[in-house]
Amino acid sequence: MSNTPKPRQGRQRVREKRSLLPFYLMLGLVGIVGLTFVFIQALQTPVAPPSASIPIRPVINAAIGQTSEGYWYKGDPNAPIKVIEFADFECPGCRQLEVDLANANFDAEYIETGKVQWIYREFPLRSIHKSAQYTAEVSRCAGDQGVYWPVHMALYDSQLQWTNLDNPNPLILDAAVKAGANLDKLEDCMDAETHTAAINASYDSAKSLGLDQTPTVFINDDRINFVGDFYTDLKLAIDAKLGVTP
Amino acid sequence: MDDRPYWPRMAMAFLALGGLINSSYLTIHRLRPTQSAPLVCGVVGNCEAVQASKYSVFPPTNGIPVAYIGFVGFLLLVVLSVLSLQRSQIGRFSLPTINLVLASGGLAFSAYLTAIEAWVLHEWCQWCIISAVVAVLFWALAGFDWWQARRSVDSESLEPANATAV
Repeated sequence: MSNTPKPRQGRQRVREKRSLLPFYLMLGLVGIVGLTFVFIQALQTPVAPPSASIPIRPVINAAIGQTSEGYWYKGDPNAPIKVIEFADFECPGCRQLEVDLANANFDAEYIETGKVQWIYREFPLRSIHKSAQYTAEVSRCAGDQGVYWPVHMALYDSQLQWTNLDNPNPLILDAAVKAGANLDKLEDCMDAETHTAAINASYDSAKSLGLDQTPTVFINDDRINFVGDFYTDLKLAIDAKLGVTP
Repeated sequence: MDDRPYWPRMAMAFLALGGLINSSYLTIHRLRPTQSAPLVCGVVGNCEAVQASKYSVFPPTNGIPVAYIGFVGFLLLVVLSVLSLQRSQIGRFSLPTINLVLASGGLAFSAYLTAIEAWVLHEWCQWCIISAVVAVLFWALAGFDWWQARRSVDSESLEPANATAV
C-alpha cells in the first residue's frame, strides 16, 4: 500500500514536466527573437560618432543677415526655396543635422548658388537642455559683433564639450571666442541680457506653432519628416520643390 | 507539491522576459551612446532627455544606470518565475514570497522613476513606461500567486486533521 503513491507521483511529475515543455519552448523562442531584434535594432545604422568635428566653411559666399523678426539667415532672401529651421544648440539631433549638411557641402550646393535661403529660429528646449537658452543668446550676441554664423557653427561643433556640465558657460564662451567673438563684448552683452527677450519670443512663437521637437524644418511652409540622414531628406524635399528630378 | 495554477507564473515569466528585452534595449544604448545619436530632440516622449538626465542613474548623479538595474532585475525575475514552476522553495524561503518581495521592490522603483518623469523632468520615455507597466502587472500576478500558494499551504495543513477525522 505504502508503495503505490510513489509511481503515481512520479507519473504526475513527468506529465507536469511534459505539459510545461511547450511553455519553455515558447519562452525561449520569445527570448531569442526579442533579444536578437533588440540587438539588431540597437547595433544597426551606427551614425557617425558625434566626436567627429563639423567641417566648417570659413566664409559663406552668400547674403547673410537678419529677417525683419530678427532671425539670422544665410542665402539670398529672394531665393525660390525658403528653409526655416527651429533648433536648439544643445540638441544632439540639431548637431547631427549640421554635421550631415556640412559633410555633404550643403551650403556650396544650395546656399551659395542662390537656391535656398536658410532661416534659423531659436527653439531652446529649456526643460531638457540647461544651456539651450544661454547658447541661443550667445549666438545672438555674436551676431551683434558680425560673427553670427561662425559662432553658430562653433557652438554646435563644441556641443559635446559643454553639454551636461555643471559649469558649461566658460566652455561655451571659449568656443565663441575661438570662432571670432570678442570676449569682453560677449560678456557685456550676456550680462545686459540683451537678447533674452528675443530668444524668449522665439521660443514662444515656436510653441504657438504647436512645435514640440527640434530640429523641425519647414521648406516653403511644408514641414519635413526626417526619416534618414538629414542631408538626403532635405535634398529630396528641396529638389522636389525646385522641380529637379533625381 | 501544491496544486495552485501554473498560468500566473507562466505569465510572470513572459512579462519579466518582456521587461528584460525592453531594458536590454536601453542598456545597449547606454553602453554605446556615441554610436546612436538621436534624430530629434522632443519635449514629448523624449527618451534621450530622460536617459541623459541625472536621474538615469541611481542614486542620482553618481550611481548605477537604471537601465542596468532594470536589466539585472528583470533577468532575476525571469529566472525566479521559471524556477517557481519547478519548485516552491529556495532553501527555507518560499519562492512565491521571494517573487512578491522582489516584485514589490521593482514596483516601488518604477513608481519612483515614473514620479521623476512626471514631476521633475516633465518628460516621458516610452521604454520607461513599458517597464513600469510590466512592473505593475508582474506585481499583481506575483501577489495572486503568493495568495494562491498561501491558500494551498493552509489547506495542506488542514488535510492531516481531516484525515484523522475520516
